[in-house]
Amino acid sequence: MAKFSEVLLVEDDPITIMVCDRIIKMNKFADKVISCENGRIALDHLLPLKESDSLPLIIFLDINMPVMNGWDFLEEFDYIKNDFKTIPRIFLLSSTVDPEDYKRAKQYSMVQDFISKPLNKEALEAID
Amino acid sequence: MITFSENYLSETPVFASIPGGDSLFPAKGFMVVDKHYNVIAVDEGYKMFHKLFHQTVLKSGDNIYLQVANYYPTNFNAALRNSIEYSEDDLSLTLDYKGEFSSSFKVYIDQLQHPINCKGARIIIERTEEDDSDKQEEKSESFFRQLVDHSTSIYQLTDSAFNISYSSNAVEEVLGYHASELFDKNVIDLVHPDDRDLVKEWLVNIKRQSEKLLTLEYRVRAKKGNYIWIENSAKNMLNNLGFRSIVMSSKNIQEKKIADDALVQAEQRLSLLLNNTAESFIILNSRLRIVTYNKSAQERSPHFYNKEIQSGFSVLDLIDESEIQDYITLFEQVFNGEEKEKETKYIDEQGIPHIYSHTFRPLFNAANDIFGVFITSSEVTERKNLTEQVAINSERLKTAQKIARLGYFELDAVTKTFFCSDQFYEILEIDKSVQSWDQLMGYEKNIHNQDKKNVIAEISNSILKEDDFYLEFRYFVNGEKEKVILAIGGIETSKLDNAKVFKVTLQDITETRMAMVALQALESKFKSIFDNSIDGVVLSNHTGELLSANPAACKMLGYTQQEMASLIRPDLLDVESRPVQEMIYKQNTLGEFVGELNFKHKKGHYVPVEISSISMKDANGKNYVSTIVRDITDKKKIEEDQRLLTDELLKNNQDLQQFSFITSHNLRAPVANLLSLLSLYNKENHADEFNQVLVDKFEQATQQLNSTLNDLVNVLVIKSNNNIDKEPISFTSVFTEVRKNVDSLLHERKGKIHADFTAVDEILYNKIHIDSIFLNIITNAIRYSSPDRKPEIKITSHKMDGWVMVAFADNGLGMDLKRYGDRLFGLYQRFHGNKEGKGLGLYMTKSQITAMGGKIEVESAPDKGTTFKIFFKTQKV
Repeated sequence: MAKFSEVLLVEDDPITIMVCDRIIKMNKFADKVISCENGRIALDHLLPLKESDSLPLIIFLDINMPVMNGWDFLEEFDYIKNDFKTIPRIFLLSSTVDPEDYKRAKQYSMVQDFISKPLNKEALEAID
Repeated sequence: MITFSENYLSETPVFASIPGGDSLFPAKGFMVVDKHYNVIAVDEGYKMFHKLFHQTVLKSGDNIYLQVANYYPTNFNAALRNSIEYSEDDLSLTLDYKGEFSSSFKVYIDQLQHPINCKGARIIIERTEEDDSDKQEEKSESFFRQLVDHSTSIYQLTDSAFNISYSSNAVEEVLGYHASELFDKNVIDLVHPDDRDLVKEWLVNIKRQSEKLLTLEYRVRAKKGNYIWIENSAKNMLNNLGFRSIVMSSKNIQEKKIADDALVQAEQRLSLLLNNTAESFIILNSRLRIVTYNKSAQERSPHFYNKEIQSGFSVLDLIDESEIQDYITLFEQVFNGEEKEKETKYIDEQGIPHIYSHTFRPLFNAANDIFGVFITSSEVTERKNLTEQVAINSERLKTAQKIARLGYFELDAVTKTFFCSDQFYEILEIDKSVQSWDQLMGYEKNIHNQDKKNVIAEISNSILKEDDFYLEFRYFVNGEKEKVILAIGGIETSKLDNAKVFKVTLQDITETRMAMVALQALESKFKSIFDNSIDGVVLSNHTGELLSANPAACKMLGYTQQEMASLIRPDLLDVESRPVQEMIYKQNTLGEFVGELNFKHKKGHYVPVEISSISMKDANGKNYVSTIVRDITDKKKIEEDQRLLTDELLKNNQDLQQFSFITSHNLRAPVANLLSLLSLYNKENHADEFNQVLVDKFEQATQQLNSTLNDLVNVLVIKSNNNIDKEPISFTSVFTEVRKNVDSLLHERKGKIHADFTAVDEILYNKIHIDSIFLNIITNAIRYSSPDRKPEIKITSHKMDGWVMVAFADNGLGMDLKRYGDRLFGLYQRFHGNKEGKGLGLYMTKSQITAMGGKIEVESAPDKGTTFKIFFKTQKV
């Protein structure tokens, strides 16, 4: 039995998606990994689930994506988060080295942590 | 018969023949009484005699018969009455005393004739000597005892060291001590501490001077502890075989002292009265010694005399020897009944003179005899100054003329009386033998030729028409030294006798003229600085009205000097603006201001200036403000350029930082993938199916990394290469080239491109860059075309001020610039889900444009299309 039944991975790079999916499952972090290749697709996926029990409680969010990047996703999701029965916990997953990004992440209460790529066992174990 | 007021003992036949008695009982005595038997005069000898018959002390004014009439022997009373009332003959009788001792006296009585008060008598007594010396001594001893024990005076004997060996009974009455208590006490022991020095001195004198009676008044401690004034008469009788002691006789004079005090107090009250007047009083006796004076006199006396005044001093001792004769003459006149005045001068510490006036008045007694001088002194400085002022002023006038070197000349028109002051001769440097108008006119030749005519004309005119003249002329002395002379004059008619007098004053103004010439030179120098200064100089008054401005200031602000002088502050400055308000405030409070302001040019634009202003006072004490104005347009421009450069540098720096963040991100991402893939690889079982999948992905990730590195290298090449080769470029040829590259894509989308470079077709640019720019933008326009429309792209060139602009307008997807505008040209920013874009194109394009000093602008609306405008800096081809 994994820690969580389902996680959402918002990421555009196919290799990263594959690697993350594998690591999450190998470490029994979640039984199911759903991936969306940008923020817009992720929001479209989440919105119908706002009152559902099957809403993923953990979201791994990349920052640099086309169409809607991580920041725009946070901005929009923050705006509508109170419509959700449960507010998912969001972990930013990025290779960024810009200190501005770390500061910016702190502005959102939903953002639990900032995980530097690659995602590994230790990072997953730290999440309860 | 004797007359009054003569020496009572003179012409006394017995006087000379009387041998000396002893100290306690004089051998002779006398008394004078009037017809009522009141004592007029009495001496000690007679008092002793009197005491034999009475227990009272006789003094002047007492009536000898009051209470004691019966005690004198009858024959004495009878003889006295007879002498006063009847007989003019001298009487002589013998009196025998039979008491404790026996003695006989010869008594002489003679009638006294007073001119007014008629009659009286003189009584002279004389003790007759005993033949037997032993008997006499015995008698004397007995008499002495009798005398001392009943006397109110204290009699004391002391040894040579003044230790008391005997005290009479009176000591108990006077001082309260029993006689035995004082035995072997030293005289000095009882003396008041304040009087001890005096007493010691007195005692020394007594010891030194044998047989001499010496008297001293001093205080002695009584038994009760209080002090009592006594008068002690002592005589050194150590060598007298009968005594071998010092003999002292002390009287209680306490009451007399109280009376003296009362007298002193009365005098003090009087002096208080005199002392409260400002006037000084000094009273001199007939020997010119100071008797008394008031406080004012004491305070001021150092102003008139050489020493501080003191009672008893002779006034002649207080003055300089040289003055003595004057004073004696003065006092002689005063003693002749005249009242005299005298003035003295005193200079105080501040050097201010004080004048005192002294009045000397004779003092008359009841008999109209002069017995002293009354001197009153008071300060008359002010009065004196006033009168002196007049004298000084006329003296000053003379001095002033001399100092001002004003020459004065006068000629009586009728009498031809001629007068020249010394200065007149000196100024013209002519001989004093010149004593007439004709002689004076002989010096006319010394006047400068150019001035001569004018001088003669003015003077003639003045004499003929009685006008005043004022002229300046040059005058040569000895044909070489040139002087400038000012002459003022005219005819004056005397009110008294109508005499017409021609009066002229002359002044040598050579130096003044020279100074003025020097001043003018200085002024012209200053003016040349003012006129030729590069900086603007503006003079204004405190309310901001301009007074004058130099040519530099006028040129700077576009006004003529005349226009500038009529301007007010608001014409040149925005008086409401903060910097100007600050300037006005500082100018008014600190008197100066340094800072930068904007001045309004006549044409309306502003000139940035640096000003330095300061408040000044001109020679007339009028305030004005001098402001130096420097045009800092160029400086401002440089500053602005520097600011822009700094901004650009700052921005470039930020760009570079951003670039480094982004590139490291983009390099880390594929590396992270590689690491993850490696970690998933099953090293134990290479045949694991999944390993093959991982190897494929590994290849992809490595390609991704390589591609990213290549992109970054391209960007870096553009960014770092500042000196890119430029060549003339034709937009048409660039477009033709690019068109070929996008042909298949365009065909696929069924799009069209319209290009029009007729406005401008050629710029100086880098070939590779411009190809890349055109390719990127056109590719984007086709790639992000709307699926609903056939792509249509319009490319046009435009010539603008300093720029050549090329616009690329499409009808594609467009975008929300509000949302993406700031990121549009960012590195690795993608906006469409299209897999082809890496987010590098527009970033590269912008870098290629800005590296050549150009800029790129974008206009777009979602689903309408996008227009990119590229601005190339105009270069000379």
